[in-house]
Amino acid sequence: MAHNKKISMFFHMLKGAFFRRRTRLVIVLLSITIASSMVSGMSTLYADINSKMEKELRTYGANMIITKTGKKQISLGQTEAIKKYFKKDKLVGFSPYLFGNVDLGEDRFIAVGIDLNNFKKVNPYIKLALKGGSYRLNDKELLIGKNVSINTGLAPGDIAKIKENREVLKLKVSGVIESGGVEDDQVFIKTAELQKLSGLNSSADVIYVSYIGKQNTLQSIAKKINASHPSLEAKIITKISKSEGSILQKITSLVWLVVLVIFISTILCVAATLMSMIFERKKEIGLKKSLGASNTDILFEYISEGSALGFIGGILGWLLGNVLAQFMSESIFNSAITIRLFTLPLTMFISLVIAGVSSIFPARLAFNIEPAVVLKDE
Amino acid sequence: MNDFNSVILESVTKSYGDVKAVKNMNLRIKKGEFVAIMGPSGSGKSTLLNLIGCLDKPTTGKIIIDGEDVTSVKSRKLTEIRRDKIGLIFQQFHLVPYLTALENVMLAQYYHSMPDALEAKEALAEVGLLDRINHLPRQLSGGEQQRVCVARALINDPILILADEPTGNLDEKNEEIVMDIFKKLHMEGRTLVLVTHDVEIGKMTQRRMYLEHGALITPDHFASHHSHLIKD
Repeated sequence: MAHNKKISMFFHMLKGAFFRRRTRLVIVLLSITIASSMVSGMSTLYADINSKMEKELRTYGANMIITKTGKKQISLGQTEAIKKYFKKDKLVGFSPYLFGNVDLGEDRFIAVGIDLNNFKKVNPYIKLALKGGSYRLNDKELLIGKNVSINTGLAPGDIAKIKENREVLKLKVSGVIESGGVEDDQVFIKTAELQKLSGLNSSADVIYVSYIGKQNTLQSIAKKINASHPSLEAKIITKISKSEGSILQKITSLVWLVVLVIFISTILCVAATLMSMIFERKKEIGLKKSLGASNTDILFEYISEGSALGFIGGILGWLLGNVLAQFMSESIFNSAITIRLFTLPLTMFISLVIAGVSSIFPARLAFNIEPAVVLKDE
Repeated sequence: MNDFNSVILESVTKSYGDVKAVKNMNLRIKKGEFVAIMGPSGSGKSTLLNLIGCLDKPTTGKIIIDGEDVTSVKSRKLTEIRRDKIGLIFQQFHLVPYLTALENVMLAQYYHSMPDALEAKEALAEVGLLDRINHLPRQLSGGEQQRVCVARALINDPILILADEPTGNLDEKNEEIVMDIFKKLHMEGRTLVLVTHDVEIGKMTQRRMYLEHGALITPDHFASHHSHLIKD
């Protein structure tokens, strides 16, 4: 009962100290809240950033290529078997290419048999290269490269006659592509049309894969494919996967650097505010000491005030951090973020560390206050 | 012999660098005495009170409070002695601004043993402030604040009450109220030491000690050198 009275008095003093120093305490609380919200937001984002960035970086296009080692083309059965090496939820695009040569007008061009939906997934940037017409490939349609259009005079809407052996196909030009790459000299038709034209049953000459995963994951898949399919060679497109790794590394470093800078500047801001509060309260501290408060009592009071601020700031920061992470994820990655509960204890810990470390200098100052000096009448 | 004395100072000197605020002082204050320490500004009155009040330590010499030598004790022990044996009253009151009158009194209990609102109310009633217990210091007059300060000093039943210019910031009416409280406390057998430069206040005490340049002087010497204070 008596012990409760002491606790009640202690909390009453704590409450009094808080509510009658609102302005300064709001500054401290705000600083801790902002810092912990950054820690919470960044760690929530960090937990998702790898998968989100990996997904985002798939706009670079395919990061693995599977080719035939001999003359024998890749069969439909092999294509299906290879696809099974990739996890469905990580597989962004899997596009077999079947190559053939066709006559178009006076010239001979490379025809690529594709499924446009799959093609788009491994070449997401090509849609930006559409020069005219529509970016679609239905039956009886073809897409042509810019140079093909120039050489043949074909434009979107025109009917093109493509020949191979004795077969002739009349297809409508749906669009013209200008990528600046090999695509400018190629014509694209549905795989089934090319198979019909060239009399081939094979599924592909090469398969482009766009897969969400780190370089070593891709390497391990390639190894497995190569081991079980000697007639095929799976290779990582290193320039893509390496640069992805490097970008992710840089973004991660940047995130932690920002967190570190905020952490240090918050400690300085909170410490400076607490120091000025100690200066303001030096008479109160001197009085408490004159009434019999030991340095331990004073330290305990300040640690309690700091911890309470750290605790409240931590909770507010965690909530704010999740809102921040959600906003950043929506605006950068265009997708919602998963709230990670592990960030709550992390944020609480960080905000308590901020409050604790910031209290070291003010506490030392409070320790050294001599009641005889500060209570001297002026 | 110590049993009859609340305070004994033996050859006490307090120096701040080259300046000696208190010089080789010897004095005894008996239990139940009401003593005034008088002198002009800078004479060392407050330094002397701080030494007796265990707020400061002497540079040389010996101080005995209630039979306990406090000269060489560690600061933690000094805090305990101050908490258990001494009640301090200041000219500027020094009340915690965010605590009510009642809570300010309970603060002394909090650091001493256990806060007890009933006892604190009784202490405030003793100084005539029962109707002001829930007021914050800023809602009280100077005299009322000083009475809260007196109640706070008395709450832990100290053997020694030290007051540094307790009426320095009060008007005549409140000065009278506070001095009446002190007289009453003296009548109850408490030991009071009061620092003042006001001769009229000094006259209300049982014994006066005069200080000049950190040393005790005779009343005659004081009267001849500080006639302006006496006239005041």
